[in-house]
Amino acid sequence: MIGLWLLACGASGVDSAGPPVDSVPAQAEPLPPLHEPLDAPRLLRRLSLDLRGILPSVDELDRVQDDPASLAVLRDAYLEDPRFEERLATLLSERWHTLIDEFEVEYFDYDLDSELEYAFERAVGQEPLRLMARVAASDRPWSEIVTADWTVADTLLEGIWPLDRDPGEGWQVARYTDGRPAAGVLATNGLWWRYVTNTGNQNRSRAAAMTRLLLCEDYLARPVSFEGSVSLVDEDGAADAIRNEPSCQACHASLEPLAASMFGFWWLAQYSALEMTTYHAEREPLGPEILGVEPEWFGTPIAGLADMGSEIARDPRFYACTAESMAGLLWRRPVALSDFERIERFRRDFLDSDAQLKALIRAITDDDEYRAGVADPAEPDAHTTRMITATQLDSLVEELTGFRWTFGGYDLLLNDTSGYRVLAGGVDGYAVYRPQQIPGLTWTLVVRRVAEAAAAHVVAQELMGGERHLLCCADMSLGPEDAAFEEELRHLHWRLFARVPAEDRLDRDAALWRAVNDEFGAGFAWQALLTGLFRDPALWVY
Amino acid sequence: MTRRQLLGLMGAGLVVPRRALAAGTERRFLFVYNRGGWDTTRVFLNKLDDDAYDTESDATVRSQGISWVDHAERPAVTEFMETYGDRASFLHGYEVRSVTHERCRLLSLTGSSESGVDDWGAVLAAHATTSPLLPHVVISGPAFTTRYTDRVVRVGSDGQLGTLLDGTALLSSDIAVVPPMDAVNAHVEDYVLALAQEYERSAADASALSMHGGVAATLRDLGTLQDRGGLQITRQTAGCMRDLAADCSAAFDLFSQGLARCAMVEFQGWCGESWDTHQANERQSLHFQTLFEGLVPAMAELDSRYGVTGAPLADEVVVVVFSEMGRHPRLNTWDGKDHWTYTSAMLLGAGVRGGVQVGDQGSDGLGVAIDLATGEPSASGTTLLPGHLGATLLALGDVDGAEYLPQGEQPITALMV
Amino acid sequence: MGVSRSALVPSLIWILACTGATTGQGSAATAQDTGEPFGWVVSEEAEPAWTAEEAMSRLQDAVAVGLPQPAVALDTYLALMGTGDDACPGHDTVLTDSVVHGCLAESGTWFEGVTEYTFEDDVNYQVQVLAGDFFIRSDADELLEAGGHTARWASRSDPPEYGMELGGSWVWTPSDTFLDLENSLAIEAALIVDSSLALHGGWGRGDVDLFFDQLTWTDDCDGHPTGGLWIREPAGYWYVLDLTGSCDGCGPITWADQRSLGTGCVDLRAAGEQLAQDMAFL
Repeated sequence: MIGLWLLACGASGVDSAGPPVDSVPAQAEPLPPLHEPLDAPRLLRRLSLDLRGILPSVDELDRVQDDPASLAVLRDAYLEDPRFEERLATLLSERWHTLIDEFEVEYFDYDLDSELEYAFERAVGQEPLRLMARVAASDRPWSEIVTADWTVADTLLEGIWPLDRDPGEGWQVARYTDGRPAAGVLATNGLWWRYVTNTGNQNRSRAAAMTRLLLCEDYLARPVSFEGSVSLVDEDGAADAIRNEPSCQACHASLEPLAASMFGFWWLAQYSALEMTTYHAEREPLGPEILGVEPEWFGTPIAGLADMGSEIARDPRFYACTAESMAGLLWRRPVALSDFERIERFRRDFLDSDAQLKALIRAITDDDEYRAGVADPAEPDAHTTRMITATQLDSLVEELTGFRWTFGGYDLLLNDTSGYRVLAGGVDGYAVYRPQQIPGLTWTLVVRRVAEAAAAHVVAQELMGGERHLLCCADMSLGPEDAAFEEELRHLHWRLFARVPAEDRLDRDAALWRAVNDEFGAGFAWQALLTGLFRDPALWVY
Repeated sequence: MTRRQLLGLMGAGLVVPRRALAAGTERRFLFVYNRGGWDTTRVFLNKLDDDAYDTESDATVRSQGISWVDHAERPAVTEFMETYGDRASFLHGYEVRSVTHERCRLLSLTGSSESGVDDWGAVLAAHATTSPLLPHVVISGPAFTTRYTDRVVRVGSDGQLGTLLDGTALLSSDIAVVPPMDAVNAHVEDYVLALAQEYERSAADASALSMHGGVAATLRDLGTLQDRGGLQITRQTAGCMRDLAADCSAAFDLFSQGLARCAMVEFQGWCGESWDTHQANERQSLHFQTLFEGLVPAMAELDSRYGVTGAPLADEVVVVVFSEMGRHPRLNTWDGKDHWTYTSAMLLGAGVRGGVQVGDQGSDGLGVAIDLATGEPSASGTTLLPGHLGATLLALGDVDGAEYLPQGEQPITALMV
Repeated sequence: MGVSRSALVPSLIWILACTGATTGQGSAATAQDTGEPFGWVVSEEAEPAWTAEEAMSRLQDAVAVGLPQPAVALDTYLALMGTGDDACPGHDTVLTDSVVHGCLAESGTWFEGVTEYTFEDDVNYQVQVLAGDFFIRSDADELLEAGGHTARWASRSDPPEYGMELGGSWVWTPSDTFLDLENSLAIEAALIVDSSLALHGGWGRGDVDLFFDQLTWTDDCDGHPTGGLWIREPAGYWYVLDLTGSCDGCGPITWADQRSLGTGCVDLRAAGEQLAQDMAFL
């Protein structure tokens, strides 16, 4: 992976003198434009979907249409929008995979009502994501995600975990009261409930997960072969091999010392809420004892999890990995070796800003790769179009129309137990690890049903005298012969697609309306037209 | 002419879609994935006389077409082997080079631990010559795709695909939704399809073409599927768990209609306990019994079905039964068995040589190198990896595996007719 | 130690075979902001929260309730199970899958969870093991809740030998036992009657966390143990009282594995004696 390339300089964390910041000259020439960029309105649309999960307003689109230079101002405003934090948490979930539908402890273990099952699952999985998003949204150095002595929690978590939570609705800063160390996400239940271990694994899998997520170092990408090892069939064979076999030591020499600092989360009973809720400080000394190594961060002795957070915060790989992973999340594609130079610039900007994630996001979204609208012929395979994700679908539709697809306490676009998250191309963090990038049959089907539901809702609410969310001018009495009808169409095209419709397109829309109206009346005609507009690929592809 | 009018002509035979004409007898694949890592010595791998392995003291080895480890607690295994053993083959000792479930799943199904790869089902589906509507259907279980994401159709853990198709999904909404009438929808379908095709035609680059082409293709496929009457795949339970036989039956439905080339079903052990027996390894017996309680009727149904061309479906279908890892040869302190990177798989069906056991594990627990052509142990032979199983499946599916097997794994022709 | 056990006993016994623990604490102090790269990573030099005397006083207080041993858990569990009936939980000693979501017995006791319980007794050994994830509330609103395991065994050798393990999270409240507060444990002990008692592992009770590092009582030293005794401060650093070679309950104290705090003393004679009595259950 590209992360390995970036640490070819051999930064091990022992020397905290910093990254090779001079690898890119201070006065570097800008990279040549890569692709034909999106026009300002559609770029704003892309930014709004990526940073807020909703479409830009008409006013915002008008503004950038008139003054493309205002794009940066609006982008920065999006970074300050309250929705940014939630959107960032969702974006990070595509990598951190904590929004799973089932944990080893379930809602009934806390005597919660069954109607809170989904809320429970999401609250647990969101904890580490919201912590990270809060760090970014509140302009704190990104390193605080591994050094914070706080977490965030909603009222549900406050009621079941040992937390001292600031008052207020929603996600508030909270502190665990069970003596766990200050290590940001590394000290959250939400992370370790996802990345479990057992008495035999002894936190090794967690150590591997941590390095993959924070350093882009994937131990498990290396083949694990027992060929040529000493006999592993003997009772002590595995333990001996881990400590003495060179092929095993290639990973375990650095993995064991990481795992040795995690024994406060080493549970002695699986599926036990009692065990999994609190931190077990008395087990910290067992790590070095059982694993036979002292806690270390890649050769640097550490005092435990809190020290590990500090070492991560000073590890150049952490920032390189952040740059690489954020680029991938915002580009909506895996990074490649050819992206190295770009990502190095992002990393530099990130460090220059004292590790402000917003600065990194600005760097990425200012870059041509993000803004690409049409691929340069020299790079025909460039990823210039993106497919909306299940989470964007959910938030976009709700903001646009007021319709949110929930049932029985579940967000149907955001879960797989009864919902359509994976079918809509989403990540479940358990069997599907990457969002879908090309439309498939089920994605199209989900989009269709959401569009139908949203259109029906708009008709039922807005055209029957209810509060207006989406429509500007339409009512049941209007038809294509009315100027307000065309005004509504133009408004919808602008709002939904950030495009000015051509006349033939308007004619086509009107034809659809007429065809249905002639058979079934205005209400159905508007429903059909809105459904058609909501199913227009221009809405779901950006 | 609207799409519906066109389809009406198709129905009259005046315009015959490529799909209907080109239905052939290419092989189809059913993957039965057993989650958690099974103890192959319970059924497939005979180590009763090897002291290096902890095995059941009261198990025996039986042969009928193929040799297997038999036990009174597993009558379904006995029935299966007695009935289908001459059609089954066992592949032993292939090394899934990881020790975690997630990575082993990926390795088992793709031959690689890297992201950005496609699994055997997706690759086979992508090379289907008949352009099935649902190339690779995931009824339950994992799927890994990157290039061929659009070839994979997930049914949903609760059969959600069916409700999406027939629109009843909208009845499950806290905000009441009045679904559109079919007659209204027809107008919308035409409108949307026309838009999608226009975007496809005017795509400015490969990315846009891929995206809009994908949208247009799926819209066309959806229309065809709905004209066929939709799809009914519901989650059926057998007591405390999914009904494996019903899941296999659903796959056979799709195969027999030419709608799918590959299907994935997952078995999580008795009552979803998972095969991951770090404690109480004796539970493996129950899991195997339950697995084969599902496989016996599944095979019986397969034998009774016919394919699109009217030929027996069993002549088309390859069944692959596997798990992502094996289990340690010895019991641990809790009478369980820990992860082991060597495992076995069972294949049977079209193109598979029956009654064959290929590969082995030695007294050190490691896989034995074999001659791929003969299946015999060979000091100069090949150490088996999941990619060899994958190469074999791709070969059975007439797919050139070179592109998908970067380590150059070759098919185990000893398993192939 | 010559202790044998049933294969059913979840084993931490290898801990005793290990060479002993260290604090595993490297640098307790993290770098100051010196204007280096990563200057935004600001941390302060850590200092001990307690003096040596305070730490020893806290240690003494912590063991005043007695050292943990499984009899309380086992006896309480069996007593509560005795208030069940054929319908709920339907078994004398075990909570099966059928009770995973709970049931109410006629006695008013609520049973919920899953347990495994074994009792073996022969001419040579007696072994008692309880493991599970369960919740039992009596009619008098007394709660026994656990996620973990406990075991004790006796060898009818000469001299008799006993052993015990307690792991996981346990609480029995209200009670006047050490389980009155939520306990988190990973602990085991071995007793050779009239010879030696060894205790090893971690014990968290309420907001106090201790670690017994091969704490061993013998007939020597007038009942004072040797070994190590650790206590953790809220910031996460451990104070270690090193009783290696000590015969009076006093020894050097180290904070965070690096800073000497002088010497201190803890009197564990009564606690050790009580534990030995509790463990010798036959």
